[in-house]
This record gives sequence, C-alpha cells and structure tokens, in this order.
Amino acid sequence: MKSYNKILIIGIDGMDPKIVKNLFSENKLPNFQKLSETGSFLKLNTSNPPNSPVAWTSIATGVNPGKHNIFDFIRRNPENYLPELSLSKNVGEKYESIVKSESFWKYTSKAGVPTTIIRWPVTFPAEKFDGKLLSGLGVPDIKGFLSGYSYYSESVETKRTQNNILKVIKENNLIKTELYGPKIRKGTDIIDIKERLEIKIIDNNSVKLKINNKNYSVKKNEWSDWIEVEFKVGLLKKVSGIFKIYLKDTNPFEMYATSIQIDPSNPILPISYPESYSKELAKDGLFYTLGIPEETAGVEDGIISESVFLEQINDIEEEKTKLFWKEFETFKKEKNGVYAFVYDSSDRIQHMFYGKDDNKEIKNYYMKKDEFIEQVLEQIDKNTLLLIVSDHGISSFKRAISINTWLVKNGFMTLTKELVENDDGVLFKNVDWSKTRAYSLGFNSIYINLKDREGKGIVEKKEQVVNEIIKKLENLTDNGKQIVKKVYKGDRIYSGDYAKDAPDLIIGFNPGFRMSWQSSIGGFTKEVITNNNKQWQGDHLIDPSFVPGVLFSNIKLNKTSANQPDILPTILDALNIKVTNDFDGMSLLK
Amino acid sequence: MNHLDELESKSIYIIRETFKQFKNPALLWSIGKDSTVLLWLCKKAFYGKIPFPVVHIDTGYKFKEIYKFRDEYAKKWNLNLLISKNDKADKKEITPDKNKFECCNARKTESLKQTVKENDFDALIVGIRRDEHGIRNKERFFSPRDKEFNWYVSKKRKSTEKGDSPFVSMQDAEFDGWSIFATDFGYETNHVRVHPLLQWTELDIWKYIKKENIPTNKLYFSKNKKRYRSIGCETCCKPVKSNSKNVDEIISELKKSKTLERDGRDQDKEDEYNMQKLRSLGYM
Repeated sequence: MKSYNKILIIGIDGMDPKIVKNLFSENKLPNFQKLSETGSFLKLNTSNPPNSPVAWTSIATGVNPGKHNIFDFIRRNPENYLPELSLSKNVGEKYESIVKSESFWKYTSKAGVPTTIIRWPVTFPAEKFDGKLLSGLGVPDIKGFLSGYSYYSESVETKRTQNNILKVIKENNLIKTELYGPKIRKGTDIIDIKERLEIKIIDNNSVKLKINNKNYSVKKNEWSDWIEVEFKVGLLKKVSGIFKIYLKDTNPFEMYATSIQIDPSNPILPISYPESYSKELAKDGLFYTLGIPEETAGVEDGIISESVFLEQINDIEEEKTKLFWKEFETFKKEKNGVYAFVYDSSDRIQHMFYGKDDNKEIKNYYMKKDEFIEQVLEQIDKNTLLLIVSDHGISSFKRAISINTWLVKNGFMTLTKELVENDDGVLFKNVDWSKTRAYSLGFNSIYINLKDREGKGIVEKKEQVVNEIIKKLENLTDNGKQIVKKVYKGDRIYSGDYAKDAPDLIIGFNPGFRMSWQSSIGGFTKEVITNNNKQWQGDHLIDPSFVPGVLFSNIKLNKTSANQPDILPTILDALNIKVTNDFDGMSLLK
Repeated sequence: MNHLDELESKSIYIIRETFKQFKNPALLWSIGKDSTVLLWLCKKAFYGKIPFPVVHIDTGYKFKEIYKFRDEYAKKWNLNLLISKNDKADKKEITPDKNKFECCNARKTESLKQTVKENDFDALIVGIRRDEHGIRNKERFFSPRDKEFNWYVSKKRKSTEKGDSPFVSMQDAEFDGWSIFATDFGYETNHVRVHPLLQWTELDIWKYIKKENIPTNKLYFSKNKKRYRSIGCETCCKPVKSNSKNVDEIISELKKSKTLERDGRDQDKEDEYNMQKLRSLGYM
C-alpha cells in the first residue's frame, strides 16, 4: 500500500450529496466532478443524530458518541434537569472541553508530523498538543454567547430590548450611546460592562464612530472594516473585542453591529494553541473568531436583509480563504504535514436559503468552492492525500414538533399548570418530576426520569417506558404523514465508557419535521405540531439516513460509502502511523 | 432614641426636605410592604395628609389582592392617587409570557417615564432599601436621573469658566451626621429619586409594621405553608415555603432566615443568562 507524506483535509459543513449530484448534471462543478472521476466521491454516512458537534467529533476521533461523549447540541445535568450546551462547559470563569477521545491531530503531531488545524468544530478551548490549532464552532463572543447582534435605532420606542435593540437620540448630529460588552458576576448579579460609543453624522452617507478615543469612518450600505474596542472589567483587567457594523441609514439613524468577537490579536480566552497562534495569524489582518459568526438572527428578526447577510458571508469567506492560503504556503514547503481547514458558512446558507429559488444561493456557494478546489488541485503533489469531507447534508424544516408537549399529552410527563400558548416554562420550570416518566431535551433526545440517575427520578426499570414511547412516537402522524422514521435506543446504538450518559432515545424525524426550539430547551408549546414560519427553512436534525455528508478524495477508494469514524484510521494509515486503539472506523485505504 | 425611632426620624427628615426642595414631588406606591411603610412615614411627616400625588404604576398583571388593598386604603387614607398604565403595551400585546424583559420595560419603565413627563415631576420618592439587592448598594438618599432615566456619576459642563472643572458631579455624598443633602444636580437632571428607606433592612420594616400596626397585604402571610416575601406582578413572583401567619412569626422567621428576600422573584439572572446563552445557539 502506498503511503503519503502529506494530508490535506478540507471540511465543508453541510455539503449535501444530492445538491452536488444535481450540479454535476448541470455541469456546474467541473473540478469536483473531475475529482470524482479521477479520484473518489462517496456518501459519508453521518452520525446519529446528524448534528455538527456530534458529526465533526466522530470524524476527528474515529469513534462513536459513546466514546467521545458528544450526543447532541444540548445535554442535560441529570441532577437538576437543566439544559447546557455541549460545545464546552464552564467551570467557574474557565471553559473546559467535554470531548473524551483523542483527535487525529494529537496522533499525527505526536508522531512528529507538523500538524495545523483551523476552525475544526468543538475545539474550544484549544487544548495543548504538538501542533497549531485555531478553534471553530463553540468559540463564544466576549459576552460568553454564541451569537448576538446589537442594533442602534432612532425609530424604536423601547430603550433597550432583550435582544439588544437600543434606542438612540440624535442631538446636533451627535449620538451618544453605549456598546454592551462582557458580562461579569457581582455577587448574585450578572452585570453588563459597557463602553461609551459616540457617533457623529458627517453627511447622509457617512458617520464617524468614536470608541476608546479612537475614530472610525463608516459608510452607508456596506460592512465596515474591523472596529476595535476595549472594555474595562476590573481595576487592571481589560477585554479586547472586535466587531463590524452595517450603517443602514443616517436619518433616521439605523445601525447594525455584529456580535463583539474575541480579538485574535489579544484573545481573552484560549481560542488557539499555542496562544500566540491567533496573534500570529492576525498580523495579516483581523478575522471573525466567533464559532458561528454568520448573522442569521439579524435576518430572522428582519433587521438586515438577505443581501446584507450574503455580503457578510462573502466577507467571512474571503477572510477564511486568506487564512487558508497563508497556512497552505507553509504546508506546501514542508516535506510532510497534516493540514485541516473547515469552512462552515455553507451550513448557515443552507439553513436560511434551502428550498428558495431552486437553491440558487446554495448552488452559488458550491460553485465558488469548486473554483477554490481548482486552485487547490493545481498546487498539491502526488504525495499529498486530499480528503474533502462534510458532516451531514441538508433537508427541509416545515413543521416543528414539541416532543415535551407530546410527552405531556401522552401521559409521560406531568405539569404543575395547564399548557398554554407561549408557555414560558422553559428549563422545565413547570414540570412535576414526581409524576414524570420521561422528558425531552436537545434536538433529538429523550431521557427517562430514571430512579438513582436523575435528580428526582421515579422510573425503576426503563425498558417498558422506552418501548411504550417508541411504539407511540413511531405512529405519530401529521395529516397522514408519519412524523418519525425511527426511534433509536441509546444503549443499542452507542458503546463505550460514556454511553451511560447518552440519551435513552434518539428520534429520527422524517424530512420536513424537526424538534421545536422551545422543546429543545425544556419548554412547551400548546400544540404538539406547529408551522415553522421562520426564514430558517432548511435543517438536518432528522433521521441520519436522509442527510449523509460527502467524501471526495484525489485517490481511488474502492468503496461505495464510508462512515465518519473511518476518516481518522485512514489518515493514520496513509501516514503509516501505527496506534493501538479501539477505533470504530476502518481505514478506507485497505 | 432606639433604632427604629432613629430610622423613622431620619426618613421623615428626608421626606420633608424633598417637599421643601422640589416643586413637584410624588410618591411611588407599589402597595408592597416597603412602599406602604414609606407612605405611612409620609402621612406622619405631614400630620395625616400627604401633600403630593401618590403614583401607582399598574402593569395590569399585579395580584388581585394588590388592587383590592390599593383601592381600600387610597380611600381610607384620602390619597391623591394617580394610576399610571402603559396602554401601548396592551395594544402591542407585550406580555410576560412572551418576553419578561420587554414586558417589564414597557409596563414599568416606559409607564413611569410617561407619568414623569406628563406630570412634570421633579422628584420621585421611592421605597428601595440597600439590603434588597447588590445593585442597590451604591444608591444614595438623593439620586439624580437624566432624561433617559440613566444615572451618571459626573457629566460634562455645558460651558466652563476659567479655572472650573469641566465636569459637574451628579452624585454628591451627603453629610450624613448633619443631615445635609445635595438636591441640585445640574441642568441635565430630569428628576431626582429620593430614597428615604435606604438604610432600613427587611427586618426593620417588619418591626416597624408591628410597632405602628401598619396594614399589610395578606399575600405576605402563610397560606398552604407558603407566603410571598416580596410582591409585584403575579406572573413573576413565586411564594417561599413558610408557616408565618402573622407579623410576629415573620419577624422570628427572618431572624433565622439565610435566603434572600427576592429569591421568590422570577427575574432570576442566572436563569436568564443561561436562557440567553442557549438561545444564542441560533437554532431557531
């Protein structure tokens, strides 16, 4: 078997084999097509459930969720039933990863192969290893959130809304307002640290911003350059952030500001390893550091238009591609190496534009990536193994299902008050745990309220409840359509040391259906099924059989499909690195 | 003088000072125990008849017991009661079950703003106490607000003469021992908040209620082994476990209590922060 000196892995989040094939038939992806003919194009079977944290971690670690410990976007604290994000956990002021298995970069770097990883999901906080890494999905903004815009407007009435829409007043063409920065704890309180922001209207098309005594000129109808801000959070402690703004109008004044990102040139949190790595990258220009920097909420709330959103994505892509080539130059010069780089704006475009105008925006994105791949193919030699992977595909999201409401209506869960429209009982506030046998949390998960495992568990033996739920859920219909393809038992599909923490049931929805947002964080809607009227019309949190990802390679792989845990053994095999470990995948080179 | 007499005397002094220094003051009455004690002190300060309006911000979601208490005692005590309600919040269907933060903002803050503007109040007498909440620790007896209801330590002077500091202090410390308080805070002041109960504790309030036999809402007393320790909107208050059925029992309960007064309040910041964090995932 031939071994390779170098491996280049390009991740394209959500790249869907159906859309790829559709574009092949229109001859619109010539370079991917060439790759599929001279090399390989396979379906890469996705994880169950098919969501990015679970899937990317399965690819990176070569094992199933029972070993790597990521089961859903959201997990629960069994003691108090409270939902938490799975992307990392807070321990006091610090963050910790909850991934329990080693990723391929640990093995390759330990074997002495120079390894660089950029924007791989669920790598925050960046952990120590013998290579370089810039974290991706999971990196928070300076408030500790995963997204959150601000909007400064003269025409709103409320002084400040919860989603940070602020009323501003113009006096003599000057606006004095504030930027909301880090949140800090003071006793039982959580306090916003603010910094003064002055905006001077220059003319109808431009303004001047003043923050920390620095001035920035901003033009109307375009995304600004990076604006830097420093918040004083203590006597000697400062937090640096960067953000961009979009000036919509000067009269009335309307201005959108992105989430304030951790400044890569002076990071407050460990967004890279070594810590100096993000600083080194930022020498050629600042860049978006937030895990999900695409401003989907701004579009969803009707504050920025689709075209402004797409302009931002172009901006993000340009920055990323610049980073890609910067590190590629080093990779190209070295004798051996592993270089992995993940693009994920593709996923956000798919969520927001799936099913719209014959998927025009999604197709445009794929076509741009095709041009990028052409340049990559021109520059890699025969000793480089190229793997292009995606974590899952995409499908539609028309109807939202509140599994918690369904559990109440079917007698598995009891509430302390009647179900009402827009119930605020999120975080399971109104649940009577002494009369509850099961609860749902996250986008695909159901947990049994098991005695001695959950804080107020009552179920002695789970098997009967589990079977009852499966039977009823698999028969649930919406206008004659079956909502659920299959309900999986956690202890059957996962194995390993952490399988005990897995959800008891994993729901494989049929296309068109998805868990309602309220239900995913322990809330309820009055009805089980509601329409999804949001712009967010694409989703992939359904049965994994409907949304596989893709695997392209520049070499022939004699397979018809591959599984996510196969990638790590393939990488090690190609570099001839021998490790004895209990991986769940197999090398695709054999 | 004993402790309660000292507290009473200082509070009455501040109330009288307010009436003297401001043209158009008003008292905010939420019908809770603190603002009812404050109202009682105002009555005492002016020998039974309060010479300024008593404002109740009606969110529309208060306990029915609160409305009943309000109407009964407004009549009995012959108050010049001014009820303020933000009708826009109803029209826009801003409700606590949709968004507590926006609801509070629209139904409390905005409503208060409208009332201050319409009636041109220059001072609002409010029953907050330092021990209630960390954030109230830094408050002072006379505390200025600008037109956005913000509080600033200092602001830039409109014009300066040679030798002048460019800033005007918006927050003067009182000469406590001599009862000398600053009440004029410069041209950017919209109104001044006056806090005569600032140095009182929750226990002082209940001891004073007992001493003076002040009528108190029955929500504070135990029913089905629960009582409200702090009252406001029905949608955002939760009772605490308690068997205290009268003022004496509440006083002995508080002496032993280790929990916070506002623990039953639903605006729990930690929950709110966690919710915001989960929502920020964006999988709407």
